[in-house]
Amino acid sequence: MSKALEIENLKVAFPTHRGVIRAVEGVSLNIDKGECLALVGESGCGKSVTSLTAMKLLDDTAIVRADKHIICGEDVLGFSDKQMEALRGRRVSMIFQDALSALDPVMTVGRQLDEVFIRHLRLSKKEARERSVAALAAVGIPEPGARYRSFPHELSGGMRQRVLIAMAFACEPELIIADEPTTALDVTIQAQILELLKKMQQQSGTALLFISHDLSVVSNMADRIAVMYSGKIAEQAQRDELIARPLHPYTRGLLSAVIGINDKKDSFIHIKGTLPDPADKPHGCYFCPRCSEAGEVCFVRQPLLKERVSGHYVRCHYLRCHRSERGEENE
Amino acid sequence: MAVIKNAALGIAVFFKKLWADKQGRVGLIIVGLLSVCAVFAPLIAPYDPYDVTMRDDKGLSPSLSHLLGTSITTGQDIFSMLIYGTRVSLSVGLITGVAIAFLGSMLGVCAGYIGGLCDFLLMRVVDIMIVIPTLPLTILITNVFGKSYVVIVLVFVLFGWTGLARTVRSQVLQIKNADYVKAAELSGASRFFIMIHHILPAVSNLVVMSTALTCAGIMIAEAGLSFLGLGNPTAISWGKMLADAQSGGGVLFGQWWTILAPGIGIFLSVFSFMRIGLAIEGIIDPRMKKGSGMKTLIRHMQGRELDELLASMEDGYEQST
Amino acid sequence: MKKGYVLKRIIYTVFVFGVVVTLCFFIPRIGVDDPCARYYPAQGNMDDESYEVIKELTRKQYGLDGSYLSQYLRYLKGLLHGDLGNSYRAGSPKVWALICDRLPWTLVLSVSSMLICFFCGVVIGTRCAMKRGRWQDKALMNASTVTTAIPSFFIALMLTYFLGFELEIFPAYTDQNLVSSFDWSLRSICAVAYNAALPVLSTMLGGIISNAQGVRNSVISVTGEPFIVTARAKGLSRRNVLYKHVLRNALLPIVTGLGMSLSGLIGGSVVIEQIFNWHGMGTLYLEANNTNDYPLMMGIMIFISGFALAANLITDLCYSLLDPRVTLGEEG
Repeated sequence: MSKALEIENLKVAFPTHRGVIRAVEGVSLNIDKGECLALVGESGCGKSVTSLTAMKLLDDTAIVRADKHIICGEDVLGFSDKQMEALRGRRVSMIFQDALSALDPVMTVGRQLDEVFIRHLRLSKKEARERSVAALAAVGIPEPGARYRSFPHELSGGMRQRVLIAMAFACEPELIIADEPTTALDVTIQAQILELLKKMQQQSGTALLFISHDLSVVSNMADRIAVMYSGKIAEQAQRDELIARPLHPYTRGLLSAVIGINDKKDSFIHIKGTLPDPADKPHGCYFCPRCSEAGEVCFVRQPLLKERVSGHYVRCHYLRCHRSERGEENE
Repeated sequence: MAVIKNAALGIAVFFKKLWADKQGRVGLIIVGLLSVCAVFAPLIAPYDPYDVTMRDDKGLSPSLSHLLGTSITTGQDIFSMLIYGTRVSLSVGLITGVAIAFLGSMLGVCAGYIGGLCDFLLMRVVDIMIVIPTLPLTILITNVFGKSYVVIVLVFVLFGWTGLARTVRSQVLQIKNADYVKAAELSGASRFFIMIHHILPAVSNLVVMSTALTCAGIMIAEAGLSFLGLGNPTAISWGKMLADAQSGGGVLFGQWWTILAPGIGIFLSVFSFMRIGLAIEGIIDPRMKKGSGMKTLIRHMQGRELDELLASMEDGYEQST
Repeated sequence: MKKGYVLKRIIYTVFVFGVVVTLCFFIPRIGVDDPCARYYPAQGNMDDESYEVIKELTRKQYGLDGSYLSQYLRYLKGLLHGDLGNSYRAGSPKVWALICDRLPWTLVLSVSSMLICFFCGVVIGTRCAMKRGRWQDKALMNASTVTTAIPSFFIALMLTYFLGFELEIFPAYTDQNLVSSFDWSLRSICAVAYNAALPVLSTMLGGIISNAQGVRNSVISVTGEPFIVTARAKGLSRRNVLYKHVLRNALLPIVTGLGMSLSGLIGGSVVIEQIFNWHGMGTLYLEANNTNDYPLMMGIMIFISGFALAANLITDLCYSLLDPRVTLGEEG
């Protein structure tokens, strides 16, 4: 099965006056066609940087290196700006978090949508307009003809997010990267948007890289989940496997914070502290200062990502004992 | 007492910061030199610039005895005039700047903090003042009340406070709604107390910055008015030196130094105050400065350092056993 | 709602204008016992009674008879009919006619300078914003602190010396036949451009740099907005993003500033006009000042203020057309 996105050993660093910020350290991701991979982590852990780098959209103040970077079968590592531009919006597109600031405030949403069709399908203005209205209708916007002429600030938050989704799906791309698409919305609207996103994804068979800090949002959408912590993948598995048998203490902390996924009464784990300063990361395991189960080795040596069960990767020294404990409990 | 001590401490810290800033230091040094020139002008100047009796020495070129030559019409030593010119420029600039800072910040704080009718009236006055063209107005007033720097300073102050009052007002409105001020109000602090302890310190940097920039602006305006012959007819100012050079034919006879010298004087004084103002702006809001050097940082980061960084970020899979 | 706001805005503008007129009217009369005193002919060996008659006649001639209030009402009445009074010059020409004679000449200088500053500023500022942190950008930032510290009339003097006298590229003083011989032929238009070169050049330098810096800051702050990333994610090229999204947003505050600076078009170039002896409003005002021609000075002040008010009003009302986020009547 061919992949929609393959990234291997991605490293991103930002030199600043305060020191080098190590945003992403050796992240590898791959997404099958039509699959939905969720990338979960606290804000500041490097997920948004990862998504921008996947599109090659970071500006040149960043140092970016990767061993492999393949989008929809195209090796884009050596791609020029021009080649990337042809790819963006056509075969891979993006949905952003805050739709109000992600839309040009002085241009009607319709014209902004037109731009995609004109750029990639070489349509005339009139044809693009028809397609745009249809696209607005497809994402469930009432009166698409009138909304076409609206400015972003005239729409509600949910409507704006729908516009962004319409824009992302406009040319039926093979991969869509959604960077916290529902975070800025009310819970009820959030559910509607997730529903819409799922429906659109299934209809068009698009692969989706869904980025979120919220495991509960992700658990309905994703086929696979990757948990990111301080620039590294902490754990990665099929959704059901990860939710049923989280191996990394961080994942367990995240899961226990979600009501309804894990019913055990005694299992609420409070993750104390905050993410390490990306310019000054701790020795050993990055999670050890916050980990309640850390042992001596955690403060000395970085654990590597290790495949425990088939398809279930985890980065932790003390894997075996957690596993056996949890295993006994489950049986 | 504590307030005064705090203020003194604040001023000391402020100058330290200003001195640490490259722009600020350049500005401070130039202002210092100019002040020395202004105060000790009679000691520094080799000739009496008011002496117009040296008719034989009209329009001399620069030489060892007259460093910048002599004026075309009356034969005064231009270097001495240049030194004495700092007096007018600095005093008009500083007095006006400080007066505007005082008036503008007071009225701005009143409008912002007291609000209501006071705010309404002050802002209407500002609306009117802003429309009236300053230069023609100043000319009209000097025509009515006589040509003197006192009149000029008064006009500048009366019509110059509006901009500062506006900025201070909007700043005060922001602070007024800040939680710490609300908390102070709830805990029963008087309005006067809040004004002195919370609002004035918060706007003080802004006021100092705009004072430096106002001084610079006023110096240019003063030079313009003196150039038009609206200053004290007897005083020596750079603007008047330029006017004399022009009317005396400095351009016509190719004596460009008679124009360049006062020009450089104006430039230096304005430039130094602007540098200080911009340095303070950088201290208040570091975002204005930061971020310009990112690309150079990347270019510097090459070779081994970069390799080491990338190697330290290396990650791999552990083979499952 | 919208109509109400426009009406309110217009009424307020008229009110401010009224206050300005009042100020301009009374400033020359403050602290003066008899504003007409300097125009009376010498008494000579005339007896006091007939001298009083002469004085009264003179007052009438200069429009200074009656109380201040009646003079003021008379002035206001004239103003309502678009009459700014008569100048004290020989033949007492209408102030309005004098202004109309000079206005185009001032506008030639200031409008061309403004347009050049705007366009060069946009081009240079955008360039520097794109090359942020490189030498071009640093050069602009340093140049802006230097050029704003140089008064334009000093630049004007240096330019007359180097370009006017030494190299003789442009005329150092305006040709005095320029005005009288102007007849809209291509030849005379070229002559105007040739004579206007130095005055425009000397105001241009500082204007371009400060405009460029404003554009640069504005472009940089817009470039950091998320919607620019969206536009890039759609596959638009840098060029397209720049023209369609960055500049449209970045120029909003610049264009507004341009509207506001319209008010400086007339009164801003007094010194420059004086240096080049340009036949404009600035020199007219200085002439009026030298001859104590108060009606003319008042008229010019009122005209400039009215122009500024109108410019501000129009900019204000047009702003909502440029920026769809702003609806009229709401404080931004």
